[in-house]
Amino acid sequence: MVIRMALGAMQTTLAKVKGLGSAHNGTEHFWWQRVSALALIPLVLWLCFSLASLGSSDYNSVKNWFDSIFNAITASLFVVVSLYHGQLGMQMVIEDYISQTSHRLILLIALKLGTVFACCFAVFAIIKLWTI
Amino acid sequence: MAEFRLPANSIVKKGEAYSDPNAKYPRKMVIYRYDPETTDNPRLDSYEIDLDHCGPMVLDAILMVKNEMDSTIAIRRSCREGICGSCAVNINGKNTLACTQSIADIKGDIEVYPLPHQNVIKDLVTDLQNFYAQYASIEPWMKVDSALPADREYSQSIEDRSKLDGLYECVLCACCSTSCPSYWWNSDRFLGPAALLNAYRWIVDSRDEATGERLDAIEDAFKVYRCHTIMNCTDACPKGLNPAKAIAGIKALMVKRR
Repeated sequence: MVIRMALGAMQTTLAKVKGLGSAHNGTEHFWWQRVSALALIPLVLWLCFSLASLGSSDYNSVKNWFDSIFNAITASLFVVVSLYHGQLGMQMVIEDYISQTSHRLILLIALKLGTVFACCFAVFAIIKLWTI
Repeated sequence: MAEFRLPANSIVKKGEAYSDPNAKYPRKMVIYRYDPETTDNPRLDSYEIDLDHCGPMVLDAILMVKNEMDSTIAIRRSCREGICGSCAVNINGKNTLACTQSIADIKGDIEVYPLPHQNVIKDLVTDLQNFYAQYASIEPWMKVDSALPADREYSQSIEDRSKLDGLYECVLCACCSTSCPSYWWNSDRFLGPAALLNAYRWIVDSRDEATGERLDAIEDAFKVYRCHTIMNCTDACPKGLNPAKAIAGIKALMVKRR
């Protein structure tokens, strides 16, 4: 995906353009970026509605609100789907603008691992809030 | 990671000014001049042309300057009527064909630069080797394995033929590809709107039997999916084509077959 072939100066332009051929990737990224965007429409609406209804509630009423399985699951879904959508977008940004292979690889790996960590962290926090 | 300082010879300096004291309808034209074989920086030469003795298009003005004021300007041109695609340049910030861009439609000075983000060979002539190789890489010819029909013609319905309208008219002038930011950043791997529009032209041709192979060959995060629907290509196309729509068509077929 990100490894560039060391191009010899003697290669023809066509050989350089053909490079290592097609990696047969990108379609899943394209598809799931759109599916996750669609999924975020109801989730964001739910979030706005929830934040508005919670208003300036105190800690206990927010905790009680999270006692609802529906609220806890939807909050988890929002966090996971938005982080997933965000990392798909960030992957595009990194691939677009970071041309040096080593930097690109390091950033992409950090992005993927960071997203998994953030997902686990957020979902665990919601579960903990639910079980206290 | 990123180069924050531009190379010293990328700074464009002010060049010479040519005036025509006898001009009846003077108009100022600014042309980018650069010869990479010298150590000189690029410069902007300005020419005062007389619209009274000049044809209506920007190419007419450039040729008048070249013939009558400064013969050292390098420009590609051939048909001077929007068919060959040779005279593609950047005029007042927009890539287009100099031969179909009317001077009357331009406000203020006429500013002519080479196509953006390409290596300059001299003045308005850029190196399009990579662009042409990308076109060659999509194998722009009909691929058929079936035996030739008895009447030696591959039939096509009127409806199927109409799918090629808006695609076959491409003259490969490179206005679209060189206006695309994704192409600027990743032209070593992104095929660019022109090559992809032509790829789609063969993908949707009902007579072609290599549709799947063609999709296989370009299904790649860089070859196709660098397109982020910026639409500069469609905005730039001097033939009024819509490469962004063609690329969307390719993506739709990729999703359809997944």
